[in-house]
Amino acid sequence: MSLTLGTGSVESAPPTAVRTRRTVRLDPRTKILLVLSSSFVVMAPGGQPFVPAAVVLGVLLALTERAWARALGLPLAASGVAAVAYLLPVALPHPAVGIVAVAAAFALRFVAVGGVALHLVHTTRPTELTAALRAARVPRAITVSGAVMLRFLPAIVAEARAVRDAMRLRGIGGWSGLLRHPLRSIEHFAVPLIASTLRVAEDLSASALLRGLGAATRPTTMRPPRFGAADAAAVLVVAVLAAVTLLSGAVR
Amino acid sequence: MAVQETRTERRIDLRMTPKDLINIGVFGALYLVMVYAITMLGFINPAVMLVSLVASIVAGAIPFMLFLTRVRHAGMVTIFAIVTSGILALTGHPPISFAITIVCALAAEAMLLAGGYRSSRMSVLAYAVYSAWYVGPMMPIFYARDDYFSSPAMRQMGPDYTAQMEAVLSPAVLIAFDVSTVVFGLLGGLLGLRLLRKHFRRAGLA
Amino acid sequence: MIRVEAVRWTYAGADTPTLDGLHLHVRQGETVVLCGPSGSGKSTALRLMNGLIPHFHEGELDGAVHVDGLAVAGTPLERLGRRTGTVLQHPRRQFFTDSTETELAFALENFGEPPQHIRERVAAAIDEHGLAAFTDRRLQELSGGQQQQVACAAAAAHRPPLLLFDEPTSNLSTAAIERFTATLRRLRAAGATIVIAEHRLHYLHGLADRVVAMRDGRVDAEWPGEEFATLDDEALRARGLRARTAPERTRPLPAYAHGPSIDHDATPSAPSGAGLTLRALRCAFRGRRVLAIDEAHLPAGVITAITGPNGAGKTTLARIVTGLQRHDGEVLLDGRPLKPARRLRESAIVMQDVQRQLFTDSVEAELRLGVPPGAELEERSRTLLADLDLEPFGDRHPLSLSGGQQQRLVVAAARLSGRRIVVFDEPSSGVDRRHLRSITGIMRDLAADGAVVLLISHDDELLAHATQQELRLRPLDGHRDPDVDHPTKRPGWYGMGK
Repeated sequence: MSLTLGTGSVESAPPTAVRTRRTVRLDPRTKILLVLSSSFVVMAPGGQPFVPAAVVLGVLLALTERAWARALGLPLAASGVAAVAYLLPVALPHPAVGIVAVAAAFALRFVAVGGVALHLVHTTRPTELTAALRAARVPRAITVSGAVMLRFLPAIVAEARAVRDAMRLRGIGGWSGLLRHPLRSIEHFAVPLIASTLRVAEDLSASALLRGLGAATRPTTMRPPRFGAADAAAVLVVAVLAAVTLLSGAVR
Repeated sequence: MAVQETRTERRIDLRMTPKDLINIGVFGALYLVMVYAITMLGFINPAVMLVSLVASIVAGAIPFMLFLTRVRHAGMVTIFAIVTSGILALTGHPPISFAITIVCALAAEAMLLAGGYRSSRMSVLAYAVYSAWYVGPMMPIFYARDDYFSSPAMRQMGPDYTAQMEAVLSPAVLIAFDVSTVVFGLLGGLLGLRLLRKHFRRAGLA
Repeated sequence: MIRVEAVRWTYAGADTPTLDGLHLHVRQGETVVLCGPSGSGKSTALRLMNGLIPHFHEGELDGAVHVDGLAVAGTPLERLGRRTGTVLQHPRRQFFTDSTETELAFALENFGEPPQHIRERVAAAIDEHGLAAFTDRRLQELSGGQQQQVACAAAAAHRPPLLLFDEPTSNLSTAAIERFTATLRRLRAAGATIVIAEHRLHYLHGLADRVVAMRDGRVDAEWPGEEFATLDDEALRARGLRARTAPERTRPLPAYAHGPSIDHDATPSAPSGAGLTLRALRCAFRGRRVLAIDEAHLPAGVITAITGPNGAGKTTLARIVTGLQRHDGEVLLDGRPLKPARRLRESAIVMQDVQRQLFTDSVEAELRLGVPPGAELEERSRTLLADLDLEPFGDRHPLSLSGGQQQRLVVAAARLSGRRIVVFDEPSSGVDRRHLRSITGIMRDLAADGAVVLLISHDDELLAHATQQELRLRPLDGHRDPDVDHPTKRPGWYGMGK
């Protein structure tokens, strides 16, 4: 459940990634910091009271990139999930409902952090992310393999779709197959997916290696990330949100 | 095949070639897509949510086991864990999940090391151990349950209800969940091993 | 510049060497074309020159290779990479980033050039290679020809003295090949040493200083450029080479079709008979319409080419007729409306990357997959395998076969299960003359069996050989692709004033 939340947003990144509008642009390092710090606070024990602050942050970020649908959808989704978590058991006090409610209380935190993460995913190209990690002095082994992984995620998703098409044409796809022969279905999906991915990977790896990927020289960046006024403003906003949460006395 | 030759001279050191790093990235992406695609099925149809979670553990073993045949250096599984769970952390997974994944990866590396990075039995065990990371994203449910039960809405619910719910979220359930991921990881590892022999070796990919 | 001496190379896992006794010298500033039938070792020879052998591909190497004075085996790949630029067969597969600018900067960044310098170089490369028109678009959205331009510019951005091209035109249309030729000419004039491994030879006329024909992993024959130009087709065929002259681009008849997506006039009367009929077909992704055909007929027993620029909806049409894609409108087979689920069972696609559709662990199992067993099945599959030269491979793992054999296996499976609609998606990329004929033969056999055969391809040679009629599509947003010639633009209306 949580996994789909995570990688799902990665998959949807590429179509919008290139969009360059005149909007407030944060340094990718700031965006990473926003995600990690809100995740750290909200997911911690006693993090529940910080959920509204994180949602507000997510909405503000959505507004800066003019993602109106998300700016509206995020608080709606959060309040919907919160209602299931807190109001539904009061209306229907049954253990089965209780389990759903507990799951919803858990999902609420994912929604709150997810709103902030979506901003990172939608406004940061893989190359910018890699440059940001490099600028943050993350070791080469991680930036190189991370960059390769980001490059391959959309390519493999495309391969997976093609394999699914091929399975449907051969009459070995679909629900009944998965339920009757789960292992065989996994095999029929995995073997062609891996084989075709590795074939695609061979060309790309060769080309990247020849163009110096992972070379011993310290790599540079065409446009190094720079902190600006927007980043200072973001830090200020986060400080205000945290202060309001703490002062409202919700935290014991 | 000539693969045999490279396998015997497999060195265990920490210096990785650019090619190794590319391998980590490619298999990291394959692992995420495999796991994601299968979990997605459960998302479409809630009735099979648990089945698909289990299936994703089993399916993730296939790229993982193939990845292990290409591990030439200690630390490759750890970097694999850092980049895959790192990207999940950047999309909103709890930080503790990242930490758990790294611990699982280190444990898996220890098993691989014990098998000299060659033993297929140890590879299966390594995947099973690695699969224990699945508990990571669920952790907040358990460690932050007091948040929930002490909320104003829950305080109206009466002690019986709260006690029932707390039982569902007890450490025993957590342990049971974790043990079952390891068991399914074991099954997945065995399937991965079988497919390695049935397909990837014969196709010259392992 | 390049000295290859007595090289013998065997890929890990292969029984026989791919290169055996290869000698080849290339002088500074020379343009050399390597040709020969597939499996003759052309691409492998290129890998020797950029160091992918022995640094990336595994295997056993004997002999000596020197590039720009460096012993390849003892030099790290990144140092060789500074001296060489390589363009592989599928440009879109070698892109590491998603935009032109970042792709051009990629090598410079990895080699640690200062940012200011990178920006200047990238701007200069965009200028030189004429990429300014599409720097704001995603690389995946560009046409094959534009992608090729970007790949060339990216390989040359760090100004390496040696440029290597591996079948650079295998996915290009005639117009794109012309632009590629201009790029080559410019790089050559700038003093680069160029080596091209290629099946197609017609466009290299006047560019090559030397043509080297390879066979069985060594040099079979060698001609200076001018002398090669005088050889006749007969002499070429004897060495397994494709025609040197550009294929006569005879346009096949337009298919009966009309609607916004159709880029030609409808033939006057609607043909009838067996085959696919499309009515009021509409398809949209995320609210954007990508395909609109009012009516079309694709007859059985005929090979129909589906052509048009990227984004015209070729793949979408193929997915609709095979039942993979939701749509509005009606699709009829032999006059009866068929729901998508039924069409799935009547269709097969031979995908561009056939590995995506090989599921089992042996050739025979692959044939039997998804087909109800029966006594005659055994016999039919045996004859089919014999027909397609696959008989000796019954027990082999499908993924261990060559690309051409994998393609034939997929076709065999489609024929065995009696599929009536068979789509070929770019089946000729990187295929030599002999293979091209065998693909054409397979398509004809399928058509003769009464199937509706659809071919999506940019390969003019294949289109000219194989197709009887053409369904040409155009993008709906009015965007025109520079890679496609538009011979049907009505000159009459505009030419009258002259």
